[in-house]
Amino acid sequence: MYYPVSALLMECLILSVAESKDSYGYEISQTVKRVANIQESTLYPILRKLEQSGFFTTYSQEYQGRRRKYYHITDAGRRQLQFLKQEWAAYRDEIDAILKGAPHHE
Amino acid sequence: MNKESYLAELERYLRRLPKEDHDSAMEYFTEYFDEAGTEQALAQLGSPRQEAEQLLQNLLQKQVQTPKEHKTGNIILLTLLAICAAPIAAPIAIAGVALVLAFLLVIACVLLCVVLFAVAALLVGGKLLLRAFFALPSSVPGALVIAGTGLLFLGISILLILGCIWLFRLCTVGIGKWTHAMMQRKKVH
Repeated sequence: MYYPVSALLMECLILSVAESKDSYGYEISQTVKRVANIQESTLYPILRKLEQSGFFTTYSQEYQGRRRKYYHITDAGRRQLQFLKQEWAAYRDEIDAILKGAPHHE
Repeated sequence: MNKESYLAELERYLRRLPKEDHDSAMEYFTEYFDEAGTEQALAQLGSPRQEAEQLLQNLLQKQVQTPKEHKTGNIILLTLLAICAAPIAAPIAIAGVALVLAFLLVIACVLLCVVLFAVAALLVGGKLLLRAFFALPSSVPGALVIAGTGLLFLGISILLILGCIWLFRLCTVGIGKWTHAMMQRKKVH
């Protein structure tokens, strides 16, 4: 993708991946890489920050003989995600409106 | 390079991190290798050194943003430093004024002591002269000795008082000249 993904939008994406069911590092990484050219060394610290901010809790689980660290979204994480989604929707709508040539009247 | 050597090198670079951060980061990269497969992981990741540098930089940034205690601590520290460092002239000025006042006080005390001694000598001399007058009927030489001693004391007293007056004048003139000189210097500045 040509447009860079900002740090806040990245948080929004990561929280979204784990919203409906718990997710693990590789899955989150592969999902956000569909829109963002992001290094693991950049992605991992964001995950860690989200965990330390109380938006994620983590637990380890065996999967086919290997360990996976699962990320579970907390209530605070859901509130943050809802806020970020609203902000994104407002941002996207304004961008779309401008791209469609709507003048600014208020 | 294989999975083990890659992770070993990465671990070496991340050794500076706190144990919890270090373990967590290593866990993430180990898991990445397990999920992606060694070949793909090696293809996608940068060199261990590059990844470690980026990790350290990003983790450090995140830490700076989150804990607020550090910030207030820093502000208190900076304020203390500012208070200690900046107005160094004010304490020195206060110390200087105190020193001058102490010096003046010492001079005043010395003058007072000399004056008291002179007054005491005056009283003793007067008393001895009076005593000599009363001793005259019983012993003329004795009375003369006593009168001589009394006169000696009177003389010492008068000399001391004159000396005091001279010293006092010297001091006041000296201080006056000195303050005048200081004023002049300040005016020049």
